[in-house]
Amino acid sequence: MDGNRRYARKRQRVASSGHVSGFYRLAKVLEWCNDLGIGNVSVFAFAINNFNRTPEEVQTLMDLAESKLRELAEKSDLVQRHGVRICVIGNRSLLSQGVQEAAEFAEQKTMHNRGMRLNICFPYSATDEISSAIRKVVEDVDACKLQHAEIDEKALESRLQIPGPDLDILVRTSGQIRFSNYMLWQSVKMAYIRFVDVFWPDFSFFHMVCILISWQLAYNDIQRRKQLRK
Amino acid sequence: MAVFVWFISLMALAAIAHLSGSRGKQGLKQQLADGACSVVLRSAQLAFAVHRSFQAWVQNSLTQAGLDMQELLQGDDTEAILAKRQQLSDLLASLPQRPEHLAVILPEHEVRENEAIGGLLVSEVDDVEVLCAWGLLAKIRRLSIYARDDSLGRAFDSIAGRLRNSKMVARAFNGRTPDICLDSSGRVEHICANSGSTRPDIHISLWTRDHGYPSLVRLSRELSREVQSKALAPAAITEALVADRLQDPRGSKHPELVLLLDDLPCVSEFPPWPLQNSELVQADSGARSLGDAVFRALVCFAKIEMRFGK
Repeated sequence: MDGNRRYARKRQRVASSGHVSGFYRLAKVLEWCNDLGIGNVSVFAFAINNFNRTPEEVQTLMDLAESKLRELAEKSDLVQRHGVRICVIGNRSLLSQGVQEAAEFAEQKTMHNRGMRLNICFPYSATDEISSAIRKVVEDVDACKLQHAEIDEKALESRLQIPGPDLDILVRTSGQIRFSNYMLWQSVKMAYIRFVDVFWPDFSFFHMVCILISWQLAYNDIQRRKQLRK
Repeated sequence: MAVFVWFISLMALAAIAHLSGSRGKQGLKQQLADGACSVVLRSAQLAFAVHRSFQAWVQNSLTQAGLDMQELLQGDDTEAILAKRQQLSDLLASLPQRPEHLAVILPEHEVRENEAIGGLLVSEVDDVEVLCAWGLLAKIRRLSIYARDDSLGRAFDSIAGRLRNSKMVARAFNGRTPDICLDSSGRVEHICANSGSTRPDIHISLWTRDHGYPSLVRLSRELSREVQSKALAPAAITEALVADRLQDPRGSKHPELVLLLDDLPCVSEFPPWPLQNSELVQADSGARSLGDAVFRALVCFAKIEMRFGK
């Protein structure tokens, strides 16, 4: 979900208004995903190294997260009617008490929902996720919950913050062409990667359909490659 | 609001532009309309000229590179070729930013056999030779070439032999013999080593899937052993510790640019950890050769704004 601030700058508004526009775009995109039957959606809301931004902007984002998490969990159509389950992924110890409580609230409120799973990565980095998985594996071996010989890729993958299912499509908006430390383990497993040159609040249904159609066209080749490996 | 401000500014400019000239007796509205059209057309012309200038620069450069790739690194050393080669080298040196570490993802051997990857690739040995030559031409000190299966590693001896005797590589290095360090899964070979040099002119690593997930598994096992032997506490396993253990012993940075030479926009189990902040460029469908694809990727990288965490 990249490009909120540049979207605001383009319209000569403050950065925070770009983040608010980004939230409303997220809500729209989630509706489309739900209507299309997509079962799992992960969104990169805040990177751990975004704490390097100005304190004012970080505070604005934290306040926005706190209010919007509660709003999503309590009032949104997606949760009420479509049973979306919210999971907040990342290193929550870096968050303030208020935001941690809002995240906990959103998860608890929706934990029994059986609809689309929404992973909100906040604050997140893939290298933090992989390091945590390694630490958990080592802790489990130390606690005799896992044998040393059982340390393998599956053991690590099952301890990731987003363990599965396999990522099919990774989209990054705003025209930047890098992963920025997002879902690295998951992305290199033959995820279809698309960099779209549009700011997140401008991401439209047309963009989404184009991505899905091009993925569909590549689907057989992707499956063939996966079969070759087996 | 922005459109309104722009329109008013444009009208004001049109008025000034038009009224400052002697146009005879015309109505004010007509003059403003003429002026506005004039300003719009001139702005469009300017924008187009800038765009075309850049496009022309790229196209000329590409055309030049395209010609050069066929003759310049493979043909004989005529004066004209030498001059073009120097021009190309100067062009690459003029790029505002170049990666210190370039990674290239090649398709696996079975995929090469069964799918035509845009006609850019020939064989593992030929492709490594071309990539090495381009790395030297662009003064890229570190080149990592990845193929998911071990097709590059299996061809290690052939690759080393080719690079040792390669005229293409020598031409890319101004007719001199470069000092190349080639490594692959524990094997290291210094090719055309200059005994006085402490640092190779280019370091080429041949990566496979083993450098990715399996390396993280090996690290987990190693850390588990250390914890079992009480040399380390589990809580000490932080991101910084993992990064330190995964760091290249030679101190190389992670690749800043990753060029994907495949029709599918998938990175095929490339090592995840080094990919953190790499720019990922898929070979342009318009590229006529492997060298052309590398050149276009370097031009693309040159224009990128580095905005990490901002």
